[in-house]
Amino acid sequence: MASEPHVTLSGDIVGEYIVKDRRPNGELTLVPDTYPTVTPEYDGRPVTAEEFAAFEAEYGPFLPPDGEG
Amino acid sequence: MTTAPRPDARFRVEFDDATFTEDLEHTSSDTGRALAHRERDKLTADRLSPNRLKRCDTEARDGTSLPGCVKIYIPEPDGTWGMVFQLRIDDKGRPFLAYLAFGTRHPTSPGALSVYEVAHHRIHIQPPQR
Repeated sequence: MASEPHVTLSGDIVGEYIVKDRRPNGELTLVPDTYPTVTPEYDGRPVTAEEFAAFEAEYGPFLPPDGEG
Repeated sequence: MTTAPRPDARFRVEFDDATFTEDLEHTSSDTGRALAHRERDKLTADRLSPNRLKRCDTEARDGTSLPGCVKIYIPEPDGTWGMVFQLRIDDKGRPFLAYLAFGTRHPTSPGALSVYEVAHHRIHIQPPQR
């Protein structure tokens, strides 16, 4: 699966765009890149902070966070 | 009551197809896409050991907030890409890791989103406050 070409515009129009069409004369058709648009769907529910700690205790400790995200 | 950790315990991992596909469409690197596919196949078959998982930050320096989430770096131990999961409980009370996002940890293109910003957007339905 190849990704579509992306461009970043600056000037009168600013933002991320996807190149939908590229003609031999250089003309481009752009659409705004609204990524991410998909919201994942799963059964159940997210754990609470208490449940997170309980599962960590049961399954073994996770590595600590590193501040980058 | 505190339970002793089970050394063989592994988390089941689930992938939402549409979410995974959207992320790969926004991964410009052939290597990145190949690694993501390989990791998905491996995690689906083998499950995920907690000692591979790093906790995500509830308040990271990039403004993202991913409570209840964990991540792995690809390739390990400190690869260019990351995969973020949300710890969830299914309808039968069993824990599993739900795939939230795959992408670059530190994007270099202006305006490109990190894997953390994508994951944040998906659980909060809005971009992080910078």
